[in-house]
Amino acid sequence: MVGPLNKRRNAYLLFFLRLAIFVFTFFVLDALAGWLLRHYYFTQHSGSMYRTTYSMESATHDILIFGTSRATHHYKPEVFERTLGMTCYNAGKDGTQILYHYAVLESVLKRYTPKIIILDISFKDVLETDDNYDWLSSLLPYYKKHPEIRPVVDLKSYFEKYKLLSASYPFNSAILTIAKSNGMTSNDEGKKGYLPLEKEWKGPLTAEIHKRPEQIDSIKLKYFEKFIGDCKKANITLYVMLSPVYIRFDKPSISLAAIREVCEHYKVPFYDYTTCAEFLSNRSLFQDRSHMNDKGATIYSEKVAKEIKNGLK
Amino acid sequence: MVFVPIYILILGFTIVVDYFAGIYIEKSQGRKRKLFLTASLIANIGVLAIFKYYNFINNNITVLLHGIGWQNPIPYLSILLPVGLSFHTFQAMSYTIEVYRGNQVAEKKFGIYSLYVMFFPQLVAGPIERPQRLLPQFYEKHEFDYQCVSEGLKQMLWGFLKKLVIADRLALYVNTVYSNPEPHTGPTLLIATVFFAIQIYCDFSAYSDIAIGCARVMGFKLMTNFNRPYFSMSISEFWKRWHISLSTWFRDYLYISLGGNRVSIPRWYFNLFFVFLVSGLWHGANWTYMIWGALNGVYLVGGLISAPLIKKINRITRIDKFRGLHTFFQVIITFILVCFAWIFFRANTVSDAFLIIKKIARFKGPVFYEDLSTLGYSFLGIIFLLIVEFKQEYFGKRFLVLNHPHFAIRNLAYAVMVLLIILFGVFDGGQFIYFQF
Repeated sequence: MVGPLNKRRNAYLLFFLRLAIFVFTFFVLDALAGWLLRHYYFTQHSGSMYRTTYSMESATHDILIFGTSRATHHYKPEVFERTLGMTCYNAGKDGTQILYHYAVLESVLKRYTPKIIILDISFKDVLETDDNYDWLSSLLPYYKKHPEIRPVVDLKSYFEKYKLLSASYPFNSAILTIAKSNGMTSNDEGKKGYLPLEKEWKGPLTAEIHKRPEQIDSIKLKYFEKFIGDCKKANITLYVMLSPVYIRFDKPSISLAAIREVCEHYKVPFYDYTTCAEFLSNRSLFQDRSHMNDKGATIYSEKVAKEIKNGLK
Repeated sequence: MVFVPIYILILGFTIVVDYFAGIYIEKSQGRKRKLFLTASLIANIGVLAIFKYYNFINNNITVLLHGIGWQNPIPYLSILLPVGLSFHTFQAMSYTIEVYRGNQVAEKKFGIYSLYVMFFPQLVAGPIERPQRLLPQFYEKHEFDYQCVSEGLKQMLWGFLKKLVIADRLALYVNTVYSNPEPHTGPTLLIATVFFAIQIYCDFSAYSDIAIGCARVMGFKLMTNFNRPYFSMSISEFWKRWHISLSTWFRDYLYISLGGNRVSIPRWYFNLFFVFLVSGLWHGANWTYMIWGALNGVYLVGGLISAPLIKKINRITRIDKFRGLHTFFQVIITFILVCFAWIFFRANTVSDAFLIIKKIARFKGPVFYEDLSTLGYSFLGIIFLLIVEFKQEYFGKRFLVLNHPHFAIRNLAYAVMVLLIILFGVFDGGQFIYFQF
């Protein structure tokens, strides 16, 4: 006869035994899924994830462009190549911020030193935002392979390194994109990271509205400075650009002041095109308030390329 | 909705008041009993009124006075709504009412009574328990029980999957569209509305599953709060399957107190309508919730009035002979009515809600998507939920996966579910929707 004490002990034993089997099964499945996804992640040949991999692991261009969606849609590498006689790649990525740009730069600098870097800065690159650095998720697939980006990815949350014990976690919400990109033929070759927008903006020129009071994010500002510092250390000619928007800035912005101050301190050329009348007076150059279309990007890229050419003389 | 440590005193206040009210109600006779119950109800509703409704009422007074050119002299309060206030207040009220009705013995141990109100799995978003069910469980000895732990963990796992994989994914689309409905087209708003219907179900039922599962692990049994509500064939059935602990609370303590259906027919209809109006107000201090509640009241009364006519139509058309088709149409019609009401529940303002309805009715323009994969994952999640719930609704104990007799299959199913959460879950998402109530 089994006594109550033995019965309880047996229940504990059964539970922990089955828990151990479950944990084992999970890690086997997780490792399998992770291996499969990792393989197909790095065999992509188009799309945003592919461009990140290419920027970090393969690009060897003279000019690299960093920034958010505004970089991706505003800088045409062919214009820079034609004007400056150097190779160029647009390493911008939608929905990212300065910490991402810094991490990509670190990976690039481990392999080679570009001659020129253009950083298209945005106000969000130095301001506090509600996203808790969620956009750093796009760097998770590189965490294992690229130790240089780990300090940046760890800023996402304290638990990130523990979550990364799972082999499939870095590919969270990526399956559909991976499947799509593996099934598509490459369309990135000719455009070199540049993504043209085609529509024209029909809305009026309106003032900037901040959803919350501007507050400088000290971590982002620190990484902006580190980005500049690392470029200087590697003797890269860095240009910090604020590309055109179809927005009127009525009030002085503390983010703009902070960016300007850092650039002045490190003696880095800073060009602010947000107040340029040529763009503000022509909404047909924009697709929406923050992004120029291909027509606008061509004009803007030519302007920037000429500016750089003059600077290099 | 916020957690402010000092607000624990509010909880402390209602616990002390209701603890003593329970004892005095039991000890007293006649009018005194009613007096103690009234004092307890005033204290509970008073706290709710101050924290949840004061600024709403004051705001409406300001609008009214402004209409006749007067200034409102009553100041606004700069206070935040304590997390889960509506839930634990209702649970506390059910205790004093049950003691008053003689269905529950007053709890003498202060610690046990405090635990009844503050039992952590269901403190912030229910299920709103009844003293007869929960209090005796605190006196039972709860030893490690393999069956309980296993059942509880399974229910929690299913809850986490619904919340992280389905609800939070749908929220990405719903929040983008509903936060600014103006530029969006009818088809986009329709998709966002259907998504919201699934989102709120997965969000809230997931919380309930986690709470019930967590309690089960410790050996406690909490009441079922959701029973596949979107398979309801009428609005009245929907309310028997949706947020059951709140629906039965209103039935037991408000509807029956008003006379229920043992009154004249107009009064019965009024009782039903009034209960749903109050239910709307319980959800939030906003006209959007009031309209949502009123609309559900209208649906129910309308259903009662039209019942003989529908019976006649069924008899003439003989549609009920085709059982599957009949059920399908009834489920779809109920879902459409529920979705229509959800527009008011989710919209930021009443005018936003009417704009959304107008745009959906016009049904023009393309479907908005920022990233096609958001829509892709959303549809995959909905299909997965539909398959699981369809199986549970119509096939009962067949095709069991999580409860399969073979451990190997069960074990594989748990591991796959965790993997699904890791691969498809939204980990940077927000709070549970019902935390705000």
